[in-house]
Amino acid sequence: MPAVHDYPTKPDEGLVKLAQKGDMLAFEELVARHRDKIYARAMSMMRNEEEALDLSQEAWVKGWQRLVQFHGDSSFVTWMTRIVINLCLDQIRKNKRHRAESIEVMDEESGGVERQMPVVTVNPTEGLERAELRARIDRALGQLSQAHRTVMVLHEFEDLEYKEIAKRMECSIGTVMSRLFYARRKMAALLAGLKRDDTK
Amino acid sequence: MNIETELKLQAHLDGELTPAETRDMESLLARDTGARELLAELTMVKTCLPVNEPEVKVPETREFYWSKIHREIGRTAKPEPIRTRWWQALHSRLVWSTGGIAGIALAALFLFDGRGLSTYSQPEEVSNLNEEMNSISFRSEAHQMSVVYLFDRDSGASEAAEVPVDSLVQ
Repeated sequence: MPAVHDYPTKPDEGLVKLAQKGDMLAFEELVARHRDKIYARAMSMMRNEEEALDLSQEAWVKGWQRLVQFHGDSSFVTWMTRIVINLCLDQIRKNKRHRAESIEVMDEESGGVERQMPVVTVNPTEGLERAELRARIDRALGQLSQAHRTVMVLHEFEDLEYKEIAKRMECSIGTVMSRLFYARRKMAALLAGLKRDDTK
Repeated sequence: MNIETELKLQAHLDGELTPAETRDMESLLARDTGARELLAELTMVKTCLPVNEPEVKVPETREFYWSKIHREIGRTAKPEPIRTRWWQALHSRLVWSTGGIAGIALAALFLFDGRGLSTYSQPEEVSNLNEEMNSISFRSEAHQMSVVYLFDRDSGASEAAEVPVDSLVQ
């Protein structure tokens, strides 16, 4: 008689062990538990609901297929996040092939508008409720270019080092540094602009 | 500040400079107001983003979202190859090769009986030298038997006898 497990109360480690032995119900519980986080990461990179859904589900399928390779070096959700990030990066590369990227490249080479912006001296996030601040950050992220947003997500949200980001984005460390610099400056300007709009 | 210095300022913030470069940057920050202001701006973005990542929820029910994943897992699942241990494979080979040889030998035994390929021969008629008698005979190699049917040409009396093949050798 198969063992009965109380899946919702089991920690991730226990569910992973069961899933590695083929317990699909244990894996389904892991999906239910972490689906929002994985979807959110895909959404932050792709900014497209349909693509984010497809890529997050593809990440779960790959997670199941590769589960035997998970040895607990990181948390399960960190491991899954890496999978969805790689899928998003692959998709971004595919998408780039279908549209001209010369404008973006030129923009980066010239230093970008962001370099000319005055430094934001007043903290635009002060006094904001958390929900409002999150909404503003979300709006500002949506206004970044794909390349700037990607490096921002990988550095600020995933805490990856320059070298690791360069490897994943298949670019030089110098390019990572430039993109991150311009992304941060633009974010600051956008957040300050949103605050200025509020005070009008 | 030139762009190279600005990027080093950012690298200083991110802990990506060597100790020597860090000392140089700290020296710059101590004397340059513009560098301090730029660092403050970059620091503001770096610190507020990680703790305020926008919360997004999957816009599908748990069951519906899972059903697509489950279906794809089932579709892409490959049956596990049957793994045999080395001694099982060797044993299997020996059995099949021995059996094969035995099978061929047995088939040969049935097919070849020392006299040729034929297992049956058609019955053939043997000529009768007695003018007053008629005879009809049949011979079967497979059954090692000959049957001779003798009858008197005038009286019609007949007699049949089973005669072993060897006795008919001329």
